Amino acid sequence: MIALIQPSVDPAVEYVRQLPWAPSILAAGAASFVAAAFALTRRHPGEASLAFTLAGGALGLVLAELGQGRLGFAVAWVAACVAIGAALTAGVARRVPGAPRTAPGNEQRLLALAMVGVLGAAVAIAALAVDWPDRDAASVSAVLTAGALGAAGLVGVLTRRHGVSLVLAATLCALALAALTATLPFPQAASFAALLLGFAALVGTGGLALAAAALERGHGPWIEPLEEDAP
Amino acid sequence: MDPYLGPVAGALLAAFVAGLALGVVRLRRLSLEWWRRRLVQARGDAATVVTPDDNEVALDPATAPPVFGALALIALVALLGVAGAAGGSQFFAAANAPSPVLVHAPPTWAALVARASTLLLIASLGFLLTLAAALAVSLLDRAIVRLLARFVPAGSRAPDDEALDMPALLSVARGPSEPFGVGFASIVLFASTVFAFGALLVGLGGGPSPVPAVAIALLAVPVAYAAAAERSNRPEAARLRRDAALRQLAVAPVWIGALVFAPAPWALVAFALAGVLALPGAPARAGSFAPPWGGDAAEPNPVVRTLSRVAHGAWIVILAALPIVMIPPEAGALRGSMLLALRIVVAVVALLAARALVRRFVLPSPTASAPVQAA
Repeated sequence: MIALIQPSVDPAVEYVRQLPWAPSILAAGAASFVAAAFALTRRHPGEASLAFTLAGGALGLVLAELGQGRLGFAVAWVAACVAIGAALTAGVARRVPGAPRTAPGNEQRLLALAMVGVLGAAVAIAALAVDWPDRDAASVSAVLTAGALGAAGLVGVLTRRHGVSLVLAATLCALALAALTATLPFPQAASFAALLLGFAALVGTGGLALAAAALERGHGPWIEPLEEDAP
Repeated sequence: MDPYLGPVAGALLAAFVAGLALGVVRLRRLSLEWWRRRLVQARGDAATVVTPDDNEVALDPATAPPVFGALALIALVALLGVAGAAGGSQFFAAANAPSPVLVHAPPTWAALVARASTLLLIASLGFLLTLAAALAVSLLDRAIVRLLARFVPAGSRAPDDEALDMPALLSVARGPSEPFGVGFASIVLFASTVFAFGALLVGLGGGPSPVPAVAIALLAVPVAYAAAAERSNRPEAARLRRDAALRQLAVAPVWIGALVFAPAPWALVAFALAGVLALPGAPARAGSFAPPWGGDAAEPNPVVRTLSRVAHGAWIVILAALPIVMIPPEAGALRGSMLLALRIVVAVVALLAARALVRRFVLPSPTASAPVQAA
């Protein structure tokens, strides 16, 4: 009788527990996620760019722990470059008379979280079909880190209203994709990841150029503050 | 990642100390009561809390950066860095070498305590040596400038700098109030300097090549200045910081290109020369892209000014030492170490002397370059 009422551990939970986790990568990945979340929720692009640089640096440490130090350097490098561009682009608002120099707040947060949640669940179910216990601890943890950063970037893309934040969110997605590619067990994975980083750099600077052009011409939500923001 | 943990811990320690000095980190904010008050305040003010600096209007069109040229430069710098890392430059290849934390034995409490104490030691050493290096550079710089003034006739006399004022870090005088982002930028600037210095020390101690870590930290300098310029609520300060960020960004392709081609002798020299222009420090007057001589000279806040001067001095040592570290060492542990230390000292003195000569002959008259108080 006693055996009948003992709660059984869900097989999925037990499976996750048995995965070969790497605490060092999870810690650096968590730092990167926190910095990225801070960057994507700041209303001041200057502060967002500083936090974005920190997020890139922590993701670089994750890749260094994975044995891909060169790629880690490139990730942190691209993040810092895009961050400089974001801060300089945001400074263009000083040229627009009456511009508040404050990014509008997030929109449709619940909807974005629900969408990313559904997507995340679908990816997780598919991922559980892979025989992960055969992979090394570093790869499994790096995949989780990259997935979390990608999800944060996607939430940013869905919720942010002004160009600079959108570019930061899109670049975060690209950096997460590069980190994910680096975990693939193929010799060409590092080359693909480097190409993705080059793509991220070009998309980031191109997007910032578009944002700057819109800002200089007085278009876009940035210089039309939300009603709730109006003094 | 393992060899980078010490420098990262040093950077965190530096960030904490700088945050305390700037008043960004306040110990009372660590109390639960403070957080409860913040929560209640946030609920009371509905979804959006508009702080006074949120409602700033565009203050001065002249402070807006030339953004399209800067973005083209940023794309070039980003691609150069990715190409350097992917292309197999030997110093970036060394970034793959660091041993991971994972290879260490399973964590027991004793092992964790031993490891934490080691990291704390490295972090404290990196932090204190950064301050010491900045102080030594300040004293050496003044001595060289005075020596030159005695023996070399000047083309145009440059004003003497004031000595590095370390006690200003404990100053309660804050200067004009600025937004959180400016303090955050100063913290990032100081922490990245300590990180680079720590990586250099680890590299000198037999660790992996410090080149990638130093390169990232040097690129964090324009990030900090650009962010501080964007957040600044004083047009004069915004202009000076923007000029500094643009100057540092403009030379970034040169020094990253030089690092990719190192250890070719021309590349090492190009790195040091370009690095001098990338040093932390805002010009004393707007529109000037002259190399900085010692931190943010026109900054009215004593803590920010001192932090920038410490970063400036420490970066001079890093710039002089990095090319030396990249040259293969001599055989023999003791003789090699002594030669390395001697070379670094000579390189620092040579760099400072070259700077002093340029300053003595190229600088405009003191009346034109007198610091402008941005208050």
